[in-house]
Amino acid sequence: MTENRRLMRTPKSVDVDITSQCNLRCKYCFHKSSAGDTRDELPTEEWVRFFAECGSNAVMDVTIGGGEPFLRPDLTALVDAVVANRMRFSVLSNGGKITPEVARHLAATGRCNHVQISVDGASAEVHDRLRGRGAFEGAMRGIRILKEAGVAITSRITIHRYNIADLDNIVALLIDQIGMPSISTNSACHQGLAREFEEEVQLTPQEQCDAMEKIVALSKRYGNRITAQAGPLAQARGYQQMEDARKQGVGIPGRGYLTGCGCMWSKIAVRPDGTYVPCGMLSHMALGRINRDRLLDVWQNHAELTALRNRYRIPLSKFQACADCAWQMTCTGNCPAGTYTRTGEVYAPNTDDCLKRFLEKGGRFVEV
Amino acid sequence: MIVTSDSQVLKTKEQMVLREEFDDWAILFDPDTGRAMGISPTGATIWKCLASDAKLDVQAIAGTLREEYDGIPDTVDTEILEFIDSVRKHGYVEERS
Ligand code: SF4
Ligand code: SF4
Repeated sequence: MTENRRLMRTPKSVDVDITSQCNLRCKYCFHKSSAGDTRDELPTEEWVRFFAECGSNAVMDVTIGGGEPFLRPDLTALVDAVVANRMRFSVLSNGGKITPEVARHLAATGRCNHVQISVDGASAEVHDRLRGRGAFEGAMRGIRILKEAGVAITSRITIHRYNIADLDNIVALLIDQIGMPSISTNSACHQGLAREFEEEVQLTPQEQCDAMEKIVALSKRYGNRITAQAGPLAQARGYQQMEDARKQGVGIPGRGYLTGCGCMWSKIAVRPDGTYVPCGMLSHMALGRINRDRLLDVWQNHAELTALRNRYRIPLSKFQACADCAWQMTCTGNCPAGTYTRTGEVYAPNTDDCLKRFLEKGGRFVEV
Repeated sequence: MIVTSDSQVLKTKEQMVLREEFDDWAILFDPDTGRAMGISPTGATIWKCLASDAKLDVQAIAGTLREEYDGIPDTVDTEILEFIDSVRKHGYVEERS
């Protein structure tokens, strides 16, 4: 039987996508062409009012994303409102629009956890392949400006077929040369523009194995300085753990149910138009609007959010594909966002991360 | 705030956040450092006393605890002082004149 989970009175963190505008058009952008890609943008005052509400509900962290957040001329005013309401913040960026003035402003707050810059290649040739010309130069310039201003920087590498062979160089660039304390990795998920460019951006099982081998080897060399919540590194570790448990004939506690996402137990997100959503990747699930619906009401009482949290009570045995799967009691059913974009349904396992399917299609375990 | 036996006046620092996460669990969060400390509900009550503008002594805080909770032990004064000592060590309170 599954455990009983308790809900925190208020969210610990809030992800806000403050704009849909971006200077790039990356082929695996999860935002562009998703429900979160709203043309409407809130004026400064609306965000400022909302951050005051977050602060009075003891929210600790705000993650500012987009689109490209540095395109908003009022970014410093938004950050000031976060700080004035006793919270910390992080910013997700492609780096290309960062200016020294704004970077210095972020540093001066003393509350910036980090700015995360996407870096997918150690050269323009590799990085720009799916992100477009000039993206690498912009990312490197952004990193240099942030470093000079004293802002903590991290990077996310999106692994794809064109950068698997470059992974050693990318990690060396970010950790050894630039000196980032840690970086994270993932791969394109079936969201936003990645649906349009699926053929090009999705890894085949063979490429996935190559990527897993490479990134696992690097993670051995760099220890926990390379992290992953999704993508080849997370999959390699997750699949191995599932297989180890299967071989021992045991389940993994808390698994065997749709437990693939616990985020909505501690955080909530907001689209650029002010609509509350459970997560930026589940941007179609409108839960209300900021400054009209109280954060606490949505958090504690919204029926759809409650139903989503209760996915953890849905056993995998209920699904045809999983019913006779040898890994059923070791599996979480994975991220619901990918399930939705594949099937139009969130209350089902996500086949993109399914171990059984991966093996059937020629995938193999990688020694972690 | 609290007036200690050696006439020191201590108050919570302005930026500190009390996050009463569950009925039986709260967090003190310092956004300036990003560090947090888990505390019990009685700790949260003591913290609210420290955050208030009223000048309280240990006995007054003990009184508040007895009003809010059953079974507060006789040793509560020591526990209050220990709590204050620990938040002081974390740098979550400051001296006021
Ligand atoms: S079929 Fe896939 S999703 Fe279902 S339990 Fe097995 S590994 Fe998990
Ligand atoms: S829905 Fe998926 S992407 Fe969103 S928080 Fe959950 S696991 Fe992460």
